[in-house]
Amino acid sequence: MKMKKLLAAALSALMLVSLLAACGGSPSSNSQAPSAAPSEPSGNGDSQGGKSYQFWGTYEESGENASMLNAAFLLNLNEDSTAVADKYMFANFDASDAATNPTFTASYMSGTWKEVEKDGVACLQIKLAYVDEGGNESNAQTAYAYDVAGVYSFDLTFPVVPGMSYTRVASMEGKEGQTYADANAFIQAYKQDFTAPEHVGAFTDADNNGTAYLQADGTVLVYAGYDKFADGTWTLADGTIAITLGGEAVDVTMDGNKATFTAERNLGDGNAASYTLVCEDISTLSAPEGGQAPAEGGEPAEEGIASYEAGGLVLVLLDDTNMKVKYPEYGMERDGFTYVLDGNTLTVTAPGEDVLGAFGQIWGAMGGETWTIDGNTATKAG
Amino acid sequence: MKKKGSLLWTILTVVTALLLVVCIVAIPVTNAFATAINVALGAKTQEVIPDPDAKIYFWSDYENEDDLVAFEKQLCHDIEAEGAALLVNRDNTLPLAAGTKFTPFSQSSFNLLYGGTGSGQVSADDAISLKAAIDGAFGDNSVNPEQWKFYAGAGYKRVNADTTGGNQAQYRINEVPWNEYGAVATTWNQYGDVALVVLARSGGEGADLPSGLPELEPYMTDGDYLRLCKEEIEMLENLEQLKKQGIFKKIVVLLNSSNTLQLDFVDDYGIDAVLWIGDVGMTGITAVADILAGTVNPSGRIVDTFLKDNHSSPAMQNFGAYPYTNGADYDVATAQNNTDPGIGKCNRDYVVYQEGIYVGYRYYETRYEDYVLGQGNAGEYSYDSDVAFPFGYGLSYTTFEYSNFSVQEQGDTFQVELDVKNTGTVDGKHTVQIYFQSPYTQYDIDNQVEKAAVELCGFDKKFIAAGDTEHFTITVEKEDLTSYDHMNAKTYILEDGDYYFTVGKDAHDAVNNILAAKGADQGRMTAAGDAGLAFKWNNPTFDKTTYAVSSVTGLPITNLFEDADLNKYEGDDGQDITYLSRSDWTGTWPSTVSLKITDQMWKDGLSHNEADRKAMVETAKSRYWADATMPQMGVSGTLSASMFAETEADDPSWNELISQIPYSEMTNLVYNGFHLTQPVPSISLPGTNDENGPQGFTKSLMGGSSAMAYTSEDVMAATFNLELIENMGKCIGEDFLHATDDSGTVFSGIYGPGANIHRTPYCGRNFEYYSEDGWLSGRVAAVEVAAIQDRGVYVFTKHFALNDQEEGRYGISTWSNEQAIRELYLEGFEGSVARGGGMGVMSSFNRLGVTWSGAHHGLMTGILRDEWGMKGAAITDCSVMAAYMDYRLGVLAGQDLWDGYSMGMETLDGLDNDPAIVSAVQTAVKHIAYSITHSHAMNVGNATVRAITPWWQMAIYAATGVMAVLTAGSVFMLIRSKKKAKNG
Repeated sequence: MKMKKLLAAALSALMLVSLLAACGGSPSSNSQAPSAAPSEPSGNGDSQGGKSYQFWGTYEESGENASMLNAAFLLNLNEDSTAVADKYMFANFDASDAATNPTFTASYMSGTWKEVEKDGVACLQIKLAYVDEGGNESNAQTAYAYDVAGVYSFDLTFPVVPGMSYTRVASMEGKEGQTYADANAFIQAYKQDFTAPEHVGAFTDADNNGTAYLQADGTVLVYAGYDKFADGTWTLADGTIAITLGGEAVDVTMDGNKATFTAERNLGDGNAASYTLVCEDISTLSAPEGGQAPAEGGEPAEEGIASYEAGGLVLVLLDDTNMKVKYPEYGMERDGFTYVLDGNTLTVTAPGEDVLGAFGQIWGAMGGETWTIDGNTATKAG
Repeated sequence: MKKKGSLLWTILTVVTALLLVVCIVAIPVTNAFATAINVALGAKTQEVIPDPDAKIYFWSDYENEDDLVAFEKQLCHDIEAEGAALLVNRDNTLPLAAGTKFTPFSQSSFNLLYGGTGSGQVSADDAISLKAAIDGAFGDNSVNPEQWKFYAGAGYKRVNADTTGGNQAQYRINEVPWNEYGAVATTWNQYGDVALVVLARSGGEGADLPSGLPELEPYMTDGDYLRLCKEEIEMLENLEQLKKQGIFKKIVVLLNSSNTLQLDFVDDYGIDAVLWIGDVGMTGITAVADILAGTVNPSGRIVDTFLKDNHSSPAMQNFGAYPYTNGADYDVATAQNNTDPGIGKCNRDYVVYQEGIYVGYRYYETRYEDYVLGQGNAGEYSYDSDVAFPFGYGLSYTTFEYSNFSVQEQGDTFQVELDVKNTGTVDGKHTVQIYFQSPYTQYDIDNQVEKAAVELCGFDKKFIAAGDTEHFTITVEKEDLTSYDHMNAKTYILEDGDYYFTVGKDAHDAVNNILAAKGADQGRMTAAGDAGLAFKWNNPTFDKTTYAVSSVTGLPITNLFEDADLNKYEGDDGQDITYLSRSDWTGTWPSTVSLKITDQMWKDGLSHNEADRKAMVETAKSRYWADATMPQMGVSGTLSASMFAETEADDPSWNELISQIPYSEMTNLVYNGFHLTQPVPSISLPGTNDENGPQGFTKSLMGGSSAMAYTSEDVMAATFNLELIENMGKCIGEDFLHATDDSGTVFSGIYGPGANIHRTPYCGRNFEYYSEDGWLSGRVAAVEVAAIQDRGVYVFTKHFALNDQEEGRYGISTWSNEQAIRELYLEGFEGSVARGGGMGVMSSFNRLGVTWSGAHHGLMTGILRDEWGMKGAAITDCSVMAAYMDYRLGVLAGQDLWDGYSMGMETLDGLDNDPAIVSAVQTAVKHIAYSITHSHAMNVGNATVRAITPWWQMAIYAATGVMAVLTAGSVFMLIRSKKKAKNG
């Protein structure tokens, strides 16, 4: 039995070593051009007199890449002059223990720090870089944090992909001493709980963690994990469910009351992930409010008295004479348009250049005076 | 116990099996991104066993790096010293006396702009601050320390758009509101000699500057980044009041930007002096301080027209990315991927250069002349309402006087001579600018040939001591007087008629001199010109043959870009446009162009459909490679790359060398050029490393730190000092030489300089381009490129071509006409290649018409090789995940090397039996090999080059092997233990 245990232990150790080898190695050292840096700001040497500081900050954006980009950083400026920045990607909604949390990376960036006087202003000089297993540095930066009423701040430029120019900036704040006792305290402070969109039903792909949420107003939102990657509309009539995504109808196959459709997520590089989304029993669903799908893009038609998809534009009739034009691609819109609706012919008068401003370029390229209305769609005439 | 043993082996079997699966999956996935991983990890992919008898072709001029660094710091200072342009100096405010006390204003005074962002970003971590520079020039404690501390803690900072995935809406000025200064205001009278206002605007790769974005209106006036924001206006209004109260004596403004701010305010707010400084690089700000102190006499001349209304140019009427109106019918929104995550619009947008040649001063000065002469339906044009400072403008602390101006025709050139006297009391440098005007004739009107009122055609700069006179002799090439006639002659012409030469202090001064010579009504002129400084030359005959052949290659020159001109391209279903013409300014004024995709446009280039792509490939093969026969590959031979270090490009022995390379090695080389080149063992060609410019060796992108960070390119050009440019080019090359080490890591290629032009002030990458003037860009690029290559570094001058904006750059259709393409947009590159001997270019993301630039045969072969004689490699812009940069279409057109690739893009695979493709690939490989063999990479001599598997791939393979063994072992033990349990 002892032999077996030893053999198993040896095998386990071998596994660990081979895995470590897969993660590390001895790449060649980076060559450096001569540095033209002028002399350093005056400092007080390597010892920081027993001082330590702790900084924290986040980068956050909404959208399809949130789980990949959003991050909180805990930067410890230690007494031994080392600087260590941990990264926690909170948009993955994993608040488990830091030691095993796959969204937490200890020492994502590291370097040194010291107190200096730069151009007569006392500050903290913080040098950080991404350091790979071979000890090679990339995305190196030197930052200066200034004291404002006991709170220091600086911008941390961190690599989304180490070694590349694909970077983002986290605004860091900090002060002397320790605010967060450890990484777990930091995770608990910055963790977020995933809140699913309000919905009256859902299609799911349990194998790939995909969900299509059906909302009461006829909007459908499709998620991969916690990232929304598509939206559209849904309608239910006579036991038949119809779904559109990105303005196009999708095939929904029925097997009794079980409905299934496929959604593709563009992963770049010509690759896509396919989600097979299933609702086991659509008879449990109630038709969307009003029985009509909202405007494409998941936006309820709550503005004005009517709105029409017009190529990349949306024409919103505000009252009997006034309207606005929206360009969702750039999140732009302009008021000041007037219209006359005669049968299915919509005649639009644009405001002057002083009102249109930069929107005039959009309107000039995509807009027009006369439109033909068909349902929720307006087609430029002529 | 037995159960426990079985359980243990069960667990180990499951774990090892899972890990085995992970390893197996990891192999193809990581291999697809191998190049990027190698670069990111610095992993070696080759082993070079040096040749002990290697000949050293290129060596450093510096004994040690400290000497080089010291020289470079001084050089950056000198470039700024001669590039910074003094625009306003009321009552001789500048220079300032010793002991002057300054209070800096704006958060940008604390957070100075040293360079742009993106791939060309230089490390400014340790650049010299404004305070350190001022203290250095005026003595310690010259800058209000409390104000400095205030900005350190104010919490306001300029924000740039993100490089990857960023957009215009991210730009912020973030100036400190006036009401936040509080108690620090009590310190101002102690440092009240000068209120030093810094107005900075940053630019960067990936997003143009907002020129009127509605959602930015809360942050900047009319959503326009280049206008003063309300906080800046408030600051200047208050400073004016404080000046009246005697708190401040003078207000001096530094324009810290490569993007020209809208200068509609410099006559207001009691501003005493304005100095344009561009992006100052690592040490340039010390030169700015020296100019303020008067130890340097400013001599820079602006290389863009500075405007009172940035929207007044015809180019601004069509600037940006305009979606084709019927894109939804063609599935453009999701078609083709690129390097910008989440963006899939490689064929969605277009832009039309409707202004033709009338960009920058070519528009303002020409419209002005036609207004003065009452021609061309110029209307009641008000030059002064549009232009704040003309192209070429710049003041000095002294004055200069011209005399004895003469022009002599000497065969293919003109010799221009004049004397310049320094009539002031201080020494100074002066740039003489020679302009010409060619006749605008009925032939031009009939054939849509446009002519600018003045064009720069020569310059020289000299030091002139106070009271001294210097004689200038400047050669103007007759070739520079030609126009491109794309309608009738379809080549360059030199028309008959009256030409004018003049020397002008700037472009406007030049046109006024010519108008004076023409006897124009001075009542309509902004200033009286000097007819004595204009010379009329009559060309008696219309010449359409002399310049119809390349002076470099002797090959004919004719139309190559009809497919980029909406009025000539036959697949656009009659979507013609009207180009701006000086024959009818008002009637041809540009307006937003609305375009739709036609089926032919889709099939000719926009389509991402593989069947359409194949058809495009077949068309290219039949059109350009119809005579191709299957060449030999992988032939056993004894030639090695090092033998070709001094071999000319047209030597037939290259074919023998290239024939030794097997197809797989060739495609490996062509596929993977992401910041490096792959080794080619069959000819012992070493792999190399390439890095970004253009402000210097910007290794910060890929890790590590930059070498010397020079000023932005416009400041370089504004020096009009080619000796400085030459020194800088050599130093950039030196930085590459010094970055090369003995381990086989060779840095021998630079992605730069940039040679696009400033079509508008709002391009995010204007800091990487020299000027609004293509001719000047070409002259500067030629010198810089030749100097960089003198150190054994091959260049990739970028972004070739018509990539004059960032919006929509991934695959945007750029429409223009051939005269504008050749006379403006290619001139900078022509200087680099034809004049400077540049070995390479970087093709651009955009399309010419519907054809991606790298697949445009006219551009990549017709121009580059046949007209300019380029010998080395053309690389693509970043091609990672950019499937629209199709390898087949590229190599057939003359594209050689791709800046990265991704899984699914290997379209050359399996085509090793296609004579046209193989011939094209061999041509591409020869070009790449030429660049490398004529670089300092050949300092290794006849080294043995062995491709090696990088450590991380070895580790994955090893882990896979180990896991396989462990899994098998665990399974074996599991079965055995179960058997034992069963038996026992």
